[in-house]
Amino acid sequence: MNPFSSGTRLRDMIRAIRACKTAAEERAVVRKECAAIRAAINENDQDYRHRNLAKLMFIHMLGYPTHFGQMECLKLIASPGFPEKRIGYLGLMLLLDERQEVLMLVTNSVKQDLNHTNQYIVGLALCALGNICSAEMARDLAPEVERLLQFRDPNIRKKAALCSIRIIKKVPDLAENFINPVAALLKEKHHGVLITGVQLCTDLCKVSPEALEYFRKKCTDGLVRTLRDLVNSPYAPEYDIAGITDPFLHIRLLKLLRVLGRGDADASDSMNDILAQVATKTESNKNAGNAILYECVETIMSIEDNGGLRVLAINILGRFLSNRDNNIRYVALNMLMRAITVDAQAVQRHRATILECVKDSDASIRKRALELVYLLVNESNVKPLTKELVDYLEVSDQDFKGDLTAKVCSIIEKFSPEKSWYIDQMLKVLTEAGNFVKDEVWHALVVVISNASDLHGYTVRALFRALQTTAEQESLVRVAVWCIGEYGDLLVSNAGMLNVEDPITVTESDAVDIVESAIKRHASDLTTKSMALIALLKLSSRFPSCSRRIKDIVVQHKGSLVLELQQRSLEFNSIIEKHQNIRSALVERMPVLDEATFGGRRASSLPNTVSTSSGTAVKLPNGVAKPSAAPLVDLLDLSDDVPAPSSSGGDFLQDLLGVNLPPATQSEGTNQTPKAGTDVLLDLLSIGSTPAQDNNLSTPDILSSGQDNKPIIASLDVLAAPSLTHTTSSTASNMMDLLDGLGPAPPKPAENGPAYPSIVAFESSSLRLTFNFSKQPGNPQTTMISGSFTNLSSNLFTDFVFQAAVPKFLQLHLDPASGNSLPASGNGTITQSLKVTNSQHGKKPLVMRLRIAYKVDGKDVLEEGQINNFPRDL
Amino acid sequence: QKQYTRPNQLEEQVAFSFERLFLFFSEQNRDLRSDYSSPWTPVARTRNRRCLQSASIVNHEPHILIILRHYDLNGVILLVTSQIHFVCLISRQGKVRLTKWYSTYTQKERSKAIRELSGVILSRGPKLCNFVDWKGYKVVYKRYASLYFCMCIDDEDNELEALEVIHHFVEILDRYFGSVCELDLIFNFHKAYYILDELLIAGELQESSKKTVAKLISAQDSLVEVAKEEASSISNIIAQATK
Repeated sequence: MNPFSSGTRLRDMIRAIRACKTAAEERAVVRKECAAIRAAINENDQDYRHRNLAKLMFIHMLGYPTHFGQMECLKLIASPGFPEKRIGYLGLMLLLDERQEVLMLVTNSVKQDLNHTNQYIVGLALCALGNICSAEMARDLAPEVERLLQFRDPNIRKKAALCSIRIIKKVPDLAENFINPVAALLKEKHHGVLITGVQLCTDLCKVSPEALEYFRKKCTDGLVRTLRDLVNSPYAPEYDIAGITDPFLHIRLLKLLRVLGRGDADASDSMNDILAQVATKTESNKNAGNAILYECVETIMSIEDNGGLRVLAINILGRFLSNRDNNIRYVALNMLMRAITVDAQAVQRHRATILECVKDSDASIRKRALELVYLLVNESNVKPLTKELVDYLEVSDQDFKGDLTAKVCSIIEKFSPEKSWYIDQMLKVLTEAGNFVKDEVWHALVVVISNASDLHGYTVRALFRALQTTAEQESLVRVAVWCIGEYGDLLVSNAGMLNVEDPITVTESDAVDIVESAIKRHASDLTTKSMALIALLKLSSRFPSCSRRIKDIVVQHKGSLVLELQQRSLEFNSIIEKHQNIRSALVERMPVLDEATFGGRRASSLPNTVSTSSGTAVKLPNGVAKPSAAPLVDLLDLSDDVPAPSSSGGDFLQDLLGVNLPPATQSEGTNQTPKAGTDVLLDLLSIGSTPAQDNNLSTPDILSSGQDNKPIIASLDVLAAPSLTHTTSSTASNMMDLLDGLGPAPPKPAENGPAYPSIVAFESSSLRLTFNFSKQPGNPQTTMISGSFTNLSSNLFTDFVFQAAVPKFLQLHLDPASGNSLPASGNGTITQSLKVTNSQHGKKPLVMRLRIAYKVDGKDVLEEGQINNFPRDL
Repeated sequence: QKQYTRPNQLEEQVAFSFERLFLFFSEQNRDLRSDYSSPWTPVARTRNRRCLQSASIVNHEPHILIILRHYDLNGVILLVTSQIHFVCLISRQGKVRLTKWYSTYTQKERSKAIRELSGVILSRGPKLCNFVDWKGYKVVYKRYASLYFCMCIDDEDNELEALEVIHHFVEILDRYFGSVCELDLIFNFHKAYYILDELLIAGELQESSKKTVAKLISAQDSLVEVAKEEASSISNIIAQATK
């Protein structure tokens, strides 16, 4: 046509692109076309603007950038002709989305087009507005759209109705304006208008409670009538699909009735009959019919209770579930999941079928079915259901195993009736899918095992067997290695044999073999290897005959490139070699891990449930909740002084299991004061000398009972060894010296440091407080203060409470006082130990304010004072 | 940025309870969180709209989440959205033949979605069901010859109906092109878009009658023809005049 026009026709461009053999060729063609289009845009070419935009749309669909064409859309929309506008609006919808600012520029053109005399142009504008309008545009153009709801041509009315949906979704405030016009649309005969009107009505009800109330009152009966007419209508070829007149309208009406009926008994009542009719009369041999039934079931489930209808609905779902068509089964599972909240019993009846669906070849169905099964589990059916699921675990797809394992573990944990069952099932899961088991899950398993003392032997043997057959599953290896380390003696001696198990003969070297293989496995990660090393250390004492061999294995890691392994290797080697006398005490079986604490820990990571864990945590006066198992944590982890209540259960158990690796240790050390060895020794001592249950208070006890204190500490320095299972670098190096004797002889804490004179910190007419000071070696900043109160009056003090405050550069740690009543006339004392850390050590002296409250003859007495006479250099 | 401006107490409650729910999710045992991550998306989305009340979140049972996905105790529907989010046609080779987005997605999200979906859908066997769970939505697809017609709908929507809508679209295309094939849709992609625009607006069905759609399209096509003829006749006149 135009001899001067450059560029190709749209058809030719598409052909050229399709002819490209490689992506590079295609890019070259597209680049050339884009260059030509840009040139045309720069020249403001009028004749081929719409062709260029069409090309750009195609290029856009291929995924190339086309932003430079956005303004062209606006120009085309602004031009007067229909063809230009048509392509312009199409480009607008494809190339732009509601976030682009260019869109604002088009508002005016759209407004003009909405008022155009040509109804097709009005239609184009409505369509574009409905698909991409932003909140601002919605506000600006809502009045136009509202007016078009009454347009003479039904095709414009329906477009305006859908456009209104977009508008009220963007700006729910505008909903009120649409209520009245929509009520008129619901009375229309034209199906397109009716469908869109019903949809708009549904959306209005969702965003506006007033609208819901209005339509419920005014329109429910009319809608029921419309649906009845539709259901009973004669054959209408224009709307017929598989023998049903307009299933789309059916579905939309049912959806709206659902919204109206939910939560309103009267409205629900008025639609019962028609729902029953739809549920019974609809043909279910074609997809369209099933779609209606499906919608009808959902409506029945959602509206107010009508027993008969619900039975009908559940029966339909049962039929769906046994359908051969996968689509139908999928939607049945979907719907049963919602029905379970309405009628769990009825859903339970289909359990067997649902369980079959978990094993379906179709991933979508499997996923839905698994979710449903998870909801179906209760105490009474947990055993058979778990068995099915665990059995299926063996043959399931790799990509489904993750989901399935998580669900199975969660079911087992939640509903396990007894420990042996729990352990059995978990072992099965570990054997089948140990790689998919999350850390928390096997940590929890270890806690349970450690608590089930009668099952130790059984468990360790079962794990041994499992590990012999498969060593591929990481978490199985970890649990097994841990158990063998702890209960290796039971494995060899066959102690605690249950009736159900076959006896096996395991020699000591077999047990060592299997742990060794765990270390040697290339696939084992650092945690597993570290755990295996600890297990070996433990076995070295359990099996003296293998001690030599174990030492050799441990020594092999002396040169490991992984610092953690190297360190463990060196430390363990020196324990085995140089500290025979204390080794057995060091590697004693781990104290029972407190289930409640662990559970509380897990729960306490949840802010909302902190209160539930308070039953297990002992509240100390310093305001730190210290779970009773905390000393155990100290036993294994130097750095875990005051366990932060917010740390997750995983950390906690990792500490217990000795798998805490350096980065994790450091990350939790934010509010910790550096600790020196003595404290740990005390903690260790407290483990050894007092029952584990009440040792949360043992540390202060030992400290405060002044006269015993020193000899105990003195005798303890050699006991420092167990703490070497830890890696906190600051303390570990300190300990290394102690242990290896490389440095000077270990300083005895009791003799260490200058002695400080005792002071009378506070004295009033009725009360005296004296402070004794001691320092820990290697940690000059921290002062241990032991205070003792003496009653100078002749009356008994009760409800004695001591409080202390320090300035910011000090950190104060108060231990519980030895009592809360103080006998008269110096016949007894209350001791109170404090630990003060001076961050400005050497620059500022200690200073403290105190407040003492007590009752004399039922009267409250409050004494306050400031202590300024601390010895310098504290 | 708030999408609505009616600050009332209910909304604050909603926001509060969602926070709690979210905390619950993120702090609760992790397996649960990952399992339910998919329903999360719609729930989180709903936060910006307005809907439920706080009461139903107090319970920490996992199944409450399922209830939450549907309605709260007062029967207010939780998921306000219920629409088609996008439609796309993907060839068996994974080439995109048509895409139409009814919800807001960035260009990046769009290509990511298409890439992911074509990976999932094209690899599914012929006998499997036509639904795929995808990020808390459902994608309903159906294969016609070498083309996959996909439609992304909300979790609450009727999948069977979506299949029916797809079929409806295909029948209209078929009627318009006369036994439609992939090439028709490649070379006349704009026509396919015009037809789709007569069928769906704002992710909702607009017309259940194939005849009406065909009538509207042909009316608009003839408008274009008339305009073209006029243009060419004018250019002819000019051409003749300048000779």
